[in-house]
Parts: sequence; C-alpha cells; structure tokens
Amino acid sequence: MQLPRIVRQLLHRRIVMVSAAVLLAIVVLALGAPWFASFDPNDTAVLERLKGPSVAHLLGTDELGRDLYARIVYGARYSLAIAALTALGSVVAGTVIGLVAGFFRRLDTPLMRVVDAMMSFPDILLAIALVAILGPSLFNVVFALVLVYTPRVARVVRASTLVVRELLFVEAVRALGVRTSRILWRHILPNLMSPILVQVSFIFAYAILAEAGLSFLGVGVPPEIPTWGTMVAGSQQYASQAMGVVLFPGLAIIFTALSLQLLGDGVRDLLDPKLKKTLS
Amino acid sequence: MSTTTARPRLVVEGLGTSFPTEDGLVRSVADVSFSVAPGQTTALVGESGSGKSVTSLTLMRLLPKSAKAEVVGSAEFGTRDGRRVDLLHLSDEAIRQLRGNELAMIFQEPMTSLNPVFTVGEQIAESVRLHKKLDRAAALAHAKRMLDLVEIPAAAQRLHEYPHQLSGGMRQRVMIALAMACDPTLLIADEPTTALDVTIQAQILVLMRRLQAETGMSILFITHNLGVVAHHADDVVVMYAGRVVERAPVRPLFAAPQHPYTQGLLACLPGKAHAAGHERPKRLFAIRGQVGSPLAPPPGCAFEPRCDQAVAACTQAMPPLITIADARQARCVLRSAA
Repeated sequence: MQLPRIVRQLLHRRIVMVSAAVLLAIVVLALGAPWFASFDPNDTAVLERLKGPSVAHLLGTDELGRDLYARIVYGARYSLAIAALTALGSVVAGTVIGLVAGFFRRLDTPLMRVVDAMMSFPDILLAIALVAILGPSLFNVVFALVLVYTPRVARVVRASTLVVRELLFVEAVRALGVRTSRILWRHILPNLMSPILVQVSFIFAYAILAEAGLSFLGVGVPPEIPTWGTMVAGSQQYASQAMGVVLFPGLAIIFTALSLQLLGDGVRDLLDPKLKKTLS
Repeated sequence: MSTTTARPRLVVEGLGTSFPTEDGLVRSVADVSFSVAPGQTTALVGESGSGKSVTSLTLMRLLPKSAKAEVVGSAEFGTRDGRRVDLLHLSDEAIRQLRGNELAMIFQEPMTSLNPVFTVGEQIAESVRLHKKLDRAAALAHAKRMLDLVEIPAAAQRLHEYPHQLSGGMRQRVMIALAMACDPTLLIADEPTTALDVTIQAQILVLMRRLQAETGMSILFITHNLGVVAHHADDVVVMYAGRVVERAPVRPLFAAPQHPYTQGLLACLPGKAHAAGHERPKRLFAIRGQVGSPLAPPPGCAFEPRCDQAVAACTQAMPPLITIADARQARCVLRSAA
C-alpha cells in the first residue's frame, strides 16, 4: 500500500523526476555504450588530437585523438560500477556494524569507537593512504572507498536501531519465542530501510566524486582504464588548448553526482514527513 | 491431562528480582509466591511500581540482559507433555521454545506491539511457522482462523493489512490472536486493556474469557483495575512495593479484605467506599502518600508510612505473610494466623 503513494508523490516532484531522468539516461548510455559510441574509447588518432566538437567527434578528441564522447560513455561504466560497488559494500558493512552496535549494548562502545576513529580521518586522505598502501587497482579503489564510507552508514544505522529496538514489538516478538538473530534481520532491519536507502543514494554520489578525486590525484584507478576521473587527470595539462578534455568528463561527474544528491534529498524528504514540514 | 489438572500450571515460590544500580541494589520484587491453576485466572494487582510487570517479565525471562537482574526463587511450570520445569532456571534455548508456544504474553500498548512493516497475517504466521513448523500457506490459513477466533470481521482481508490500518481495539485482538496462535497453556496478560476505551476493554475481556473457556488455558492477569479483577479473576494476588501483601480467592477478598492496603484500594472504588463500612464520603477516598523509593525501603512494613492502622510493631520488621484462612494470606501484624 505504501509504495504506490511514495511513487505517486515522487512523480509530483519535478527536481526528483529530472534527476531520475538524468541518471536513467546515464545508466542507459553506459550499459549500451557499444551502440551509442561509434569509436572505440582507446583508439588513438594522433592527427585528430585535441579537436573541438564536430560531427565525427561529438565532443571532440583528447591529447591522443581518442573520441571524448566514446570515452565518457565507456567511462560511465567504470565510474558507475565503482560507485555502485562502493555504495553496496559500505551499506552492507555499515548496516551489519550499526545493527550489531545498536542492538547489543556491550558491543556498542568498542565498535563505535573504531568507527569514530575512522571518521576522524578526512575521507579523501584516508582513501589516498589506503590506495597508496594497497596499490592502484579497480578493486583496491572500491575497497578503500568502502572503508571510508562504512562508518557513515554504521552511525546512521546504529542510531535508528537504538530507536527501533526499544519499540514494544521487539519485546512482543521475543515473547513469541523468536530468535535474536531473526529479530535483528526480520524485524528490526526492515524498519531501517528508509534511512538505509537514503544513505545508498548519498554514498553513490560521494563515491563518484571520490573516485574522480582519487584518479585525479593519481592514486585511483590505473590511468589506462577510462573513468571520468582518469580522463580529467590524464588530460588536465591540455585544458588550455582544448577545454573539452576536462569540461565534458567534469560535466558528467557534476550531473551524475548532483542528480544522485537531489534524488536522495527528495526520497529522504518523502520518507521523513517531519523533516519535510520543517524544510518547506 | 488428569494428572496435571490437579496441580497448578504455574507455581511461583519466593520469586525475587533485584537490579544493581549506581545508587545500590534495587529490590524490585521480593519473596513473591503464588500459583495459577489450569483453566483459571490469577490476577496480580498493584499500583505502578509495585513490581507486577517485573514479575511477569521475570517469568517470561524477558528482562534485558543489560539490566543484570539478579533473580532468586523458582517458577515451576507444567508443560504440555507433563514435565515440570523451572522457568527461572531453564536454558535460554529451552525458554525460547516455550515462549509463544506454551507461554504467551500480551502487552499493554497494542499500538506499538506489532511490527509496522509486516501485515498482521505475516506476524501471526511467523509464530506458527516457528513453533508448529507449518509451511507458509498453512501458517497463513491458520492466521486467518486465529483472526476469526478473536472475532475480527473480514479476517481474510484484514490478514493482508498493516497494523497502522487497524484501530487500537483491533490491534489488541490481533495481539491476542498472535499470543493464542500456538494454543498456549499459560497466557500472561500485562494490563491488556489499559490503553483501550472502556467499551473496547469490556469486549476484549469477554473475548479472553471465551478463549479461556474454549481452550482451558490459564491466565496470569496483571492489572491495577479492581473492577476487572472482580469480574474476571479466580484468585487475586495484591502486590505492594514488590511484595505480596495479600492473597485470596476473588470473592473472599472483595467481601473482607484483610490487609489495610487492600482495604484502601477497595475503598478507592466509587460506590465501594460505602459498602466497606466507611461513612458515605463526599469525595472519593484516596490512600495518602505514595509508594516509597525502592532504594531506601522502610525497615518495617513497606506500607506503614501510608497506613492508617499502623502500630508500633509495624516499624520494627517486615511482617511475614500470615495464613489467615484456607487459601488466604496477608502480610500484616494486625492479622493473626488461623
């Protein structure tokens, strides 16, 4: 009964709908990259280097004459995949930690102090340190970002767990003989879905920015893999000759991250009626 | 059955629950003994803070582990297969298997005792699947029968509704259906009607009595409402400051209360005051003062500071529970043993 109402309300919000449309378009482009791009993202054509937008090259070419449009579309695959895996990994890990810390009071302090310690590092600095130690690879970037964002989710989930575990229905299902593990997964977790969903969208957005930031700083994905971050990083010194080499991947990053943030805001407002009232 | 009907379903002996706090040990419940006979209702009566809820939670072993409760005494429970087990000393796993199956509990707040994200059918089915090992479809069918049993109209449709779609009275019926789903032999009802309208209260109480007559379950009824006790209980245990102050079958208790606290409680009832021999009061009678702090109990009788009949001996030591007549006990120095 609840979902249709929420979907209906989402449809009434123009910002949310535009964000969703932008994201959908990016995802479709990424998934169908071979059909939407007429060039291979790694085909070099030195004579065609640093060209502006033209009919042949929609968004122009980079310093090696590679088609920017093809690279952005193929890069979306990597950028989105990294962000999605980061969001998934940190939400799963953060939810487990938050649930356990919030539910079992004895584990609360030790777990949350570790989480606090991790949160006291600036996000990007921690990620840089981790990738520097582990070495740059797709997997290691995802792993580092998961470690960076897990504490954020853990805090939110713990706070919500503390509220839900005190509700009488938890005691009532215990009185029915339901096992503690089942109470946690079947009864408490579903009650936390709305804050968790909101975290997913925010972390997705942060991860896109963070991946770009790491790649730009040279501690991200190996440069031969086209992601929006590696594109900006690799071509930055040619920006004065052809704006497009940094402008277009930069715009892709901005639109995606902004759309995710706005979508997350919209969903959060709808799931939390009290907050919506104070905002509007 | 014939062997167990003679013996009480639950015999609580010397039950005590204390909680260590920063200010010292709080003895929430001390030296509580009572029994619940098969198919009968024992009412646990007392005001807020008298330890009745702690007693029920101790019996169900639902006190939070973080409270570090220290529990003494025994609670002998007769299981369906004829064993006598001590609820207070069973393993966690063994008590879990009894809960919801042979021991069930309903709570005061029907508005929050159901999980908001599951339909009522799923919640009832969960308990049945857990204890009776039925598959999903059979459990849902059983859930529908339970909703019919607690007289919820359009049960087949209600089965798929969420708790927020039901009124308070309906939710309490669902809670009862949930508690009754596995046909328990002992139902602990912790103020099940307190949060409901008076008209709905009566319906719920009638329903519980009907279910009791049909299933032969015992009920431990926790309440502060003496009107409910008079109509629905067989035996009454009056608690004050964590101790039993009077124990009696319902009729003798209301006819001739022995403990000054019980007398005071009955005098508080509008219309009862006159019958109990007091002058016709212009105002409702109220017991003066309030329950003392459990951290610094008086050395003598806990009720002495509020008692109009107190004598010097009351401040000396806690009086023992004296057996006055058959099945009647009171904790008062003014009463003498039969």
